Amino acid sequence: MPDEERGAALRRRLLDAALRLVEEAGGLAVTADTLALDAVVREAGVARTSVYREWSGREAFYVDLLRELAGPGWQGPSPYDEDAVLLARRVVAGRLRDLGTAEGRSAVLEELVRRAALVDYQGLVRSVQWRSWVAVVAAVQHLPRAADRVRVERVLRASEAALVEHMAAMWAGLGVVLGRRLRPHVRGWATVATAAASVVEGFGVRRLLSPDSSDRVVVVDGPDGPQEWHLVALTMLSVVEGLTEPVPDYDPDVALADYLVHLAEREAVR
Amino acid sequence: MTDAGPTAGLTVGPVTERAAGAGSGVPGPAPAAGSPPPPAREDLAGPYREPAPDATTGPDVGQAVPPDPERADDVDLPVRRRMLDAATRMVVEAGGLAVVPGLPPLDHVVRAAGVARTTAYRAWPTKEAFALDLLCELAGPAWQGAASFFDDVGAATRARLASAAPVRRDVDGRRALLHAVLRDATRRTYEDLTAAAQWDTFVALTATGTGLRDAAARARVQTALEAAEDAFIGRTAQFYELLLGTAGFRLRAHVPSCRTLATAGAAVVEGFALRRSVSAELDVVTTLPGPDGDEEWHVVALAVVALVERFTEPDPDWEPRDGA
Repeated sequence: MPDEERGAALRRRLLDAALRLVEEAGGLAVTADTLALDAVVREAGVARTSVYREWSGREAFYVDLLRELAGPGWQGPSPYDEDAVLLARRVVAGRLRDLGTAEGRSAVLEELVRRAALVDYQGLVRSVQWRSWVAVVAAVQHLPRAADRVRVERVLRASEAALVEHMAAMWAGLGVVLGRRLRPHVRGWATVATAAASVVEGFGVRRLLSPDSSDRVVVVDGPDGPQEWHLVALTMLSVVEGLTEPVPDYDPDVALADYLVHLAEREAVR
Repeated sequence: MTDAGPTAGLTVGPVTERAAGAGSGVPGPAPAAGSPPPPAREDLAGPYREPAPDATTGPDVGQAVPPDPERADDVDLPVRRRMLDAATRMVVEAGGLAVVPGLPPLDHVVRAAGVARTTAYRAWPTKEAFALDLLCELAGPAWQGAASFFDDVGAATRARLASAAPVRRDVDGRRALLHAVLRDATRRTYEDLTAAAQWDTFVALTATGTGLRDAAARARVQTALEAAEDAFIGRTAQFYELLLGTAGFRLRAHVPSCRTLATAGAAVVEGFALRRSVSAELDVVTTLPGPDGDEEWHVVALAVVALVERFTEPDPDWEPRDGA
């Protein structure tokens, strides 16, 4: 065997052995243990000894850092979600006259999703918090101690629940004003909110991976001529329409009044 | 729009010491005061952990939980707060949290492969070079092949389509077949994707970059990640082509190609997979009446069916192929 071939065979054998090891370990460990603790101590301006009174070691500190990154930015609405929510309301406000017909309501839903999904998506891919959140989600399974995993997951779940609750309220309100209700098999607006968020984040992950190929625009013929849709928005519209259906007896005046009550109740909750 | 490339990831502490004395609690050597953030770590062969029972199959939720970890956070602890705020600030300034892939050390691999150490060092001049090759293997499309779930889904789909022949020619019959295949294949892909050992790694590397300082090394890993994604979409597109052709559906005018549909479909499945471990709403299965009685539908499958419905339409010129 020529040297070159022998070298290639050896490399293959070693790489295969390494892949087996990774497989046996249940996947590649990923750790957030990437900030030098000393640098953090300096940045915080605290005494080093005091740090060791708080945390038994660096591992414990990193677990708390993961909890931090899994939480605050995500507990409650993050700014880009809020942009999308406000835009959605503005679209409705600007097209009140269209609420009178089923076609008009469909058109309002389409415009709203077409624009708000894009705002949501663009905010997401710009957000450092979101990327850190993704990293924490991926890393949490690989924390060596079960107790640490549980502690971080608890924060992740709490922030997810807060986000979904907020977005579910938005979709429920849009359902009221646009005359759409859940299809019988869909459990709640939280399902719609989770599905919509999954669409945006699925595209977000792809965008991080390859910025050039993921921003696809398709042109759809609409009642007012061809319209540009970002693929993320068209996908979200498909999912939202698939999980909901028009209500049979819609009255725009009643719907609008109900919507205002819904918004007022949300304000009261917050 | 910010650069979301791997360069944005910060890094990186003296992680290697963990391999030697994990949990020792000893911080690494302090850089000079006022120095810029520490450079990215090049040694990838750091925090690999042995598959310890506790790490993989050990006590799960509900066991070994500290009495009340939440309570500690409510107490006013200035040092605690200042440290976490500082660390968060540093992560944000660096453009996100960096996670370091813990690769098995070369020595370990050499033993597992049963080759001589000296031989191994002829194949790779440094352990960093080995780590980079391994990382590219792990990031690239190979792991999907190893998981082979696409092959399984493909085979199951073909079997299903074969057993459905002759396909009912009317649109309702064709739609029922389309839904049935999507219901099974989507759920299967979602389950297998989240079960694949490398999925978390793939996501983590995508979101954070690799912490590699060397631009060429970074570019290699990035290329491998893109190739993996490309393979995922390519296979999904093949699946849709097979399905649409057999069920007599075609893309609507505004959908340029099956790859467009596949890109959207893959994003939906990956978006659901991403939040699977944190969401209370996923893995909700509902029962719907089907042609042969009640059917279980996972919400990810409902979402994909909705997508396919909006991106495709029955093909008026379709003729069933004999033996298809």
